[in-house]
Amino acid sequence: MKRVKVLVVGAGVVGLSTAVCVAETLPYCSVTVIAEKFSPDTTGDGAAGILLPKEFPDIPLERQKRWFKESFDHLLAIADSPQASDAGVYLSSGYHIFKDIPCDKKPFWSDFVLGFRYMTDREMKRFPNYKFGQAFTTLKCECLNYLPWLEKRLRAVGGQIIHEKVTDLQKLALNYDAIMNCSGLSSRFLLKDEEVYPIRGQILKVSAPWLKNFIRDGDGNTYIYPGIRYVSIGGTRQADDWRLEVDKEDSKGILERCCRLEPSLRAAQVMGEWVGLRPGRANPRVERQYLHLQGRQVPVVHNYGHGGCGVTLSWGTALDALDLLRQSLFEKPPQARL
Amino acid sequence: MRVCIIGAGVIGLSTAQSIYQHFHDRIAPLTIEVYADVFTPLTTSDGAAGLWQPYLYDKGNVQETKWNKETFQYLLSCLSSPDSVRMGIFLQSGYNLCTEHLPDPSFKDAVLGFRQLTQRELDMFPGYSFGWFNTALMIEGKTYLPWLMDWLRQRKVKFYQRKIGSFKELADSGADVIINCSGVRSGDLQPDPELQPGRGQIIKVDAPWLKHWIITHDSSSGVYNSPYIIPGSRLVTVGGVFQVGNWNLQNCSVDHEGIWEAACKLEPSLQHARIVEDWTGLRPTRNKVRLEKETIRSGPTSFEVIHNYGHGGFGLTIHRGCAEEAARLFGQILEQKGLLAHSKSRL
Repeated sequence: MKRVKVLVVGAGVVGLSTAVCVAETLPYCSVTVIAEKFSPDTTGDGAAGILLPKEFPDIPLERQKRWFKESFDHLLAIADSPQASDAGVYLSSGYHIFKDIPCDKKPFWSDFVLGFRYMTDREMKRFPNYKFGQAFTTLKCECLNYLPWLEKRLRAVGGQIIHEKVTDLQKLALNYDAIMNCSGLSSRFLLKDEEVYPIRGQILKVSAPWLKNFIRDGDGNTYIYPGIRYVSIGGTRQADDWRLEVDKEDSKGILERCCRLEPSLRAAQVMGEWVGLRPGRANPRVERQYLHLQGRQVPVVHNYGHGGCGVTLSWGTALDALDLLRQSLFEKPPQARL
Repeated sequence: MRVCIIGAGVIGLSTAQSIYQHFHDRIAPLTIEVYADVFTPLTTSDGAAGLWQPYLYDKGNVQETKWNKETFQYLLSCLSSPDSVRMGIFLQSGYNLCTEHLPDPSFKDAVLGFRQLTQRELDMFPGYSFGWFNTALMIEGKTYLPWLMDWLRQRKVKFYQRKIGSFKELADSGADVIINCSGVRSGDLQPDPELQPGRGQIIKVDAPWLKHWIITHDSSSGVYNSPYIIPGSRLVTVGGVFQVGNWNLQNCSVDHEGIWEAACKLEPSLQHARIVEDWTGLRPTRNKVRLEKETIRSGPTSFEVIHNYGHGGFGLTIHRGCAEEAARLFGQILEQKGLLAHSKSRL
């Protein structure tokens, strides 16, 4: 029996996770990943990779919980294994602090991280301008390690890689039985999805190996995430801003805000700066459509628009996408080839 | 007034600091000298991982719990100072794992955010059924001691590299008060059957993805004889053994194998960590800290000794509280000698 040819567009954290899910779960599929950018040049490679979701307005809460829980549990098992250092996945504890008490003191994901609790008065003393805080242990998943590790996993089950920019999905669909579109921000051009827009983020990489716990301001604009090789401090959230160049004013602002939260950063050396464009969208698009070509119906499973939650939701949405693919192949099996 | 401190580990140096802080402007001249055969980075304090954590229970030594807490508060206040990095002080959270349900430890109110571990957290550590999570402080000897020596040098404290043979030797040379911070070898100066070495061996590894300390407690093996993993600012310290009565300062390969095997079981990701080096130190073990004054007669004269030794595996944890207490005892000696100027006038 000829194998079902699945093409995954995009080799970022969502693309590779989706490819691995399909390749490892459906032995009758042969998976090929095609993308212009690979690690270390994807958006995820510069992201701190802290697992921390946000609530999307139009996706049922149960589905969002499932996305996060599955991502968290999957990565926790890796963190707990000898593979952890290879994969770049490990536990990270810290504080989520708020200048004003949020309406939702206990967000939907509080049950899925570890040890979630409110900060004590003594802990809040370090942050005099803040009124409330949450303390918990989550995971950090560094794409610089994780993506090559996923690629290894993909190749181990026969997955293929093509380094090429995709400009025409219809053309590709001629040669494949199914397409998984994980093209992130590029979906804007590939599918003409105007709902996708960049949310520019800038970070500084600093050397401060004495920092072990993360600190994040609840407004999402100031954060300190200790990593394997450096501490990522940030950030910015500039909608519709396509600039990939470093903005020195942003750097100044980031340093100032982060040093106020963590004074010891004044002794830290700045190692570099990085800019990434989050694939913003009101809600991630994880759904299936069909392309009608030459009498065939080719399923296209979309899995893009994760905004700043790519790493956070990668495995859970990949599993969802896998399910949609499985459903399509069952409902409309690809025609046998002569 | 000439004060001679024997020992340049964390106890000796911090005692010098406390004495200077309390008395440099109340008695003149005040000469402080530190004598030791080893200085940083070769002291016991330098090899220790530097986690602030007392033993689980103080066995009635409430003074020690008080001194531990004082030290924590002091270090916490130093965190916000611009010097914190140069002092080697930073926060780190972690896990205390137990093989059985135990009562709350002595330090539960001193540390930050103390709580019990949830079942999901315990699931990460097979073999352990109970435990606690909290945020504590790290104080790295290799950084803290040089900072202390710098601090003292700036204030004209003098250092002499010399092994002192006896208290009398210093007294004869003109010392008014001797402060004995000689740690595990205090027995050389004055026999103390309660003082024993508690040999510890550690492995330093490069594993920068580890961001939590993990201390295990197994009542059958005893304190620090079960694995612990403590990430530092550069390397991770993996231990542990606590061999009472063992004076061997050489690294032992049998201990290395035992420590490494147990630690990799506890933290599987360690298997791919690069081992950098082993180190052995002798904890100055005693059933309780000896922190008291003693008047020693030497022929027609006598001199004062303040003992401040026997801090076991919690020297860094307790140092400031003990240093302040030693300074208080020093003040008592000054008062007895009528050397302290009083605010109320004397008739």
